[in-house]
Amino acid sequence: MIAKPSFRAKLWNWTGFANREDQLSMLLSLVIGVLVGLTVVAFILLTGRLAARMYPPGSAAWRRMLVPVTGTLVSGYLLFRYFPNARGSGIPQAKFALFIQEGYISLRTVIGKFVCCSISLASGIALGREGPSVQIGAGIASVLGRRFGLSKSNVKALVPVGCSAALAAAFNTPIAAVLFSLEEILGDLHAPVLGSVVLSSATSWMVLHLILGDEPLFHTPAWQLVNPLEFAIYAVLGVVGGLASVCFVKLLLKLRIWFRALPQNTVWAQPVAGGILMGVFGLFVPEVLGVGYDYVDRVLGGDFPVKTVALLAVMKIIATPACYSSGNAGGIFGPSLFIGAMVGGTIGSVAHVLLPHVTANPGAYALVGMGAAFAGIVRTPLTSVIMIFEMTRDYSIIVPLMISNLISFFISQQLQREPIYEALALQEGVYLPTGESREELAGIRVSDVMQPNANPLPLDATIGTAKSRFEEEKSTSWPAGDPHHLQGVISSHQIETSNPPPDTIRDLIKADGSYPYVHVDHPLSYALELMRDNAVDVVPVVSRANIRQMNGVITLNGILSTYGIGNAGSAGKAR
Amino acid sequence: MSGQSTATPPAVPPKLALIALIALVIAGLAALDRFLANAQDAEVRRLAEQSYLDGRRLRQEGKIVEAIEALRKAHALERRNTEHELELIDALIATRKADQAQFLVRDVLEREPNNGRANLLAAHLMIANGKAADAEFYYHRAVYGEWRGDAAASRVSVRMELADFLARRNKQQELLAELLPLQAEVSKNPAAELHLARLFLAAGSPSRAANEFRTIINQNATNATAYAGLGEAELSRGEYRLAHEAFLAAAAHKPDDPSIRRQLELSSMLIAVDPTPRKLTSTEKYRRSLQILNSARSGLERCAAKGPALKYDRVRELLTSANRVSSNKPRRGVTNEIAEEALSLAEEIWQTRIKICGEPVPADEQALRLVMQKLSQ
Repeated sequence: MIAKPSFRAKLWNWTGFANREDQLSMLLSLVIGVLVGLTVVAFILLTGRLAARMYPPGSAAWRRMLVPVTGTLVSGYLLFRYFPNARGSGIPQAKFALFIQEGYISLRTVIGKFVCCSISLASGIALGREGPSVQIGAGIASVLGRRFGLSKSNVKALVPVGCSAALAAAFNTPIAAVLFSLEEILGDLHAPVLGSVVLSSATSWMVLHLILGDEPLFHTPAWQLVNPLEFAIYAVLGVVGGLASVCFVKLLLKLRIWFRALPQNTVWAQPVAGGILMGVFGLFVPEVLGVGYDYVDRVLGGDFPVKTVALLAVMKIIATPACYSSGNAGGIFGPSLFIGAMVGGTIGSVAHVLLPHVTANPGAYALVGMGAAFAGIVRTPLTSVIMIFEMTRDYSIIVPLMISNLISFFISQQLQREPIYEALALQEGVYLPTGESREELAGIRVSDVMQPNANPLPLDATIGTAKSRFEEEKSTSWPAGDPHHLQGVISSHQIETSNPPPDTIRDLIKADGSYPYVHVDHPLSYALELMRDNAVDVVPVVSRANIRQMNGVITLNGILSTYGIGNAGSAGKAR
Repeated sequence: MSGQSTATPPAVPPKLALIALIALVIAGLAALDRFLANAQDAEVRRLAEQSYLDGRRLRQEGKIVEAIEALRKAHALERRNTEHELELIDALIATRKADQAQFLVRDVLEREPNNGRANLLAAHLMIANGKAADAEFYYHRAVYGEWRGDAAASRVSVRMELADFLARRNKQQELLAELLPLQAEVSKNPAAELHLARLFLAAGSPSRAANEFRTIINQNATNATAYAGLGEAELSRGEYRLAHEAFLAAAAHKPDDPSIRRQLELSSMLIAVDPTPRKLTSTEKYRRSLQILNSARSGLERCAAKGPALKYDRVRELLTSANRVSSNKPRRGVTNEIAEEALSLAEEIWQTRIKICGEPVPADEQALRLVMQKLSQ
């Protein structure tokens, strides 16, 4: 008897989700957007409410000493005892999950990150909420993907979707969130998950707006260029922002090495070191406590004493690395914006004092400084430009922003070779592919290795002629047809296994006319994939306008020679 | 049948429980978020209102720096509260922090372009930045803008402020255009009426000013300021006797006021020197004309002595003519025409003096100025 399928099974089959994981992934992107948006909003609000309780208006100075110490002690113990994977920023952890753990992030880590970060951030330590949000978002995506029984590759593909949703809600910048996921998390702006990433980012952003309204994270002044000389000052800001970024990153990495060298049984107490430093700093300069977005808002408004702003920049450059390296849960995304705003505010104020008639309000420099520091520390220049653009919604700021960001990015790249998240991963013994390394790998193209003057075997050539050509070319396969009308690629393996034995190579041409091919602008990696999938060691290079038009060939030997490896060996090895 | 039983089993349905759980989590999180957001909003609003009230109190106590700090806090907490923002802008303008105020004003006007108070503050800001034309534009927008509470009273107040501004800039035509609609609006407010009457004077409409002052006097016959104002209006109209009577009435109600006494002396002097009254004998008119001519000549000499004017031929020529007219007695008796000639020369000298040294004239030349004003009419 046939077992009658249930209504649920029928519905499942009817929707097509039973066999189409891609569609389910797309639908999950929406769900992830909603769920991550709600979670991140709850995270932001809860942290804010907790912080308001810890530091009520007009509270005594001792609180500024006691609360960070207690907060780091509690969260440090929780991290050590229950949630070891919730330590740190969250962005390297999301990348680990993506590149090493097949997209796996446990629910426990998500909960741990939420709880520990809420405690530590509310206690006033100088770390941000965006990094943790990214890990929470990636974790929710990972958990959902697994629970819905998606394949590992699809679960992995959902990680950047969660990251993007989290960042869109945490920072109120949906486009920058998409770019960040592609530029930093995936390291590939042409990633195939772009659609899902955009979908989740937009959904999450809508959730944020439904609950918190249309209030931007920062209230920025309308930017205006007073005099072209200001471009030079923005360039100086780029230089100073780059140097400040390098100081920040180097200090963070050094301190982290130092903390990692401490005995293992002190790990639970290490976060308190950050708490004590924050307590001492906070006792004298309360503005340094927490991520400090309120003060950034004031600086953007152009209302601040320049000495305080300069002092805050220095203190934050010391405080954030100390808090992060000691093992607290929290990100460096927010602090990098704080440092940038303070550096920009300082430069802008000095410039305004020296050249009052040719410079804009110092708030404008603080705004550009945020982008410069972000580009220097996080090393995502495109994201930093778009992020500030999204914050201000002012197109005219783009040019000075690009000048400062690129200078800062360049200086940071020269003085600190490894980007911060990759350097942190390396300290863990993990090599993560960066956007830059991908670029380098993808740098060699088919056009660099192609043999342009190769002729295909004519279709009426005998098998003997074909074998002679294989020997002559030291390969096991070769294109066949006319140079202007390519018919296929034949291999010695085909000749050997063909039954009945072929008379001419025409008999070996596939009936559907398909064959592997590449174009001149393809990366070598793609050519290698084709060779593997089609069991050949030669692939024709064809015109983009006409795939039957052969412009040359690319051989496995040629590729290996390019990398300095020498001859690939005899025929048949391609298989 | 057995072959059928080994057919591919149906695809495994998803766990409905999981979907239900996700829906439940979403609903729970949404409720939690809404609760937290509402709680935060309420607290933020309370804190912002407290800071706003503190700021206003501190401002009233004259602690402007502390007031700005409190108002800034109120604004930072509740960005969309226009009232808080406008109070901050006002305080910033008062402390000459125009550049900071400018961003905020722009922000409010982008949001609420018809907000009356925001436009008024924008006008203040423009004045602080020396942009008088822009200030005038914003004043007009404020007059026709939206106001909270008693909108009519606010509009009258702004129009009066605009009138003061125009009076300061000596834009008489525009000033008169603003004053005319105000006439009906301020009829029940004596202080505003008095101010309006003075503005009519500044607008070069002494008749309207005199009427306004008379209305006030009719309501309160002991108002010395109104009598003094009426005297000034009558002086401007050239009605020196009426002016003198008004100043006498003012002095009767405010005998110790030195300015009224000065005006009284001035009006007496003008009555004595005025060459225009009817039934004046030719000899007397000629005598007064010479007196005016001599005053005008002295004025020009004093003015020319301050600068290089004496080297101009025209000035020397006028002074010589004045000397000649003063020193040469007419051979065939004094006629009205001779007096008129002397007055014409005096007028020409006066115009030259104004051209060289400009206005305003010193206090001792006020009488001459008023006479010349009357003669030019």
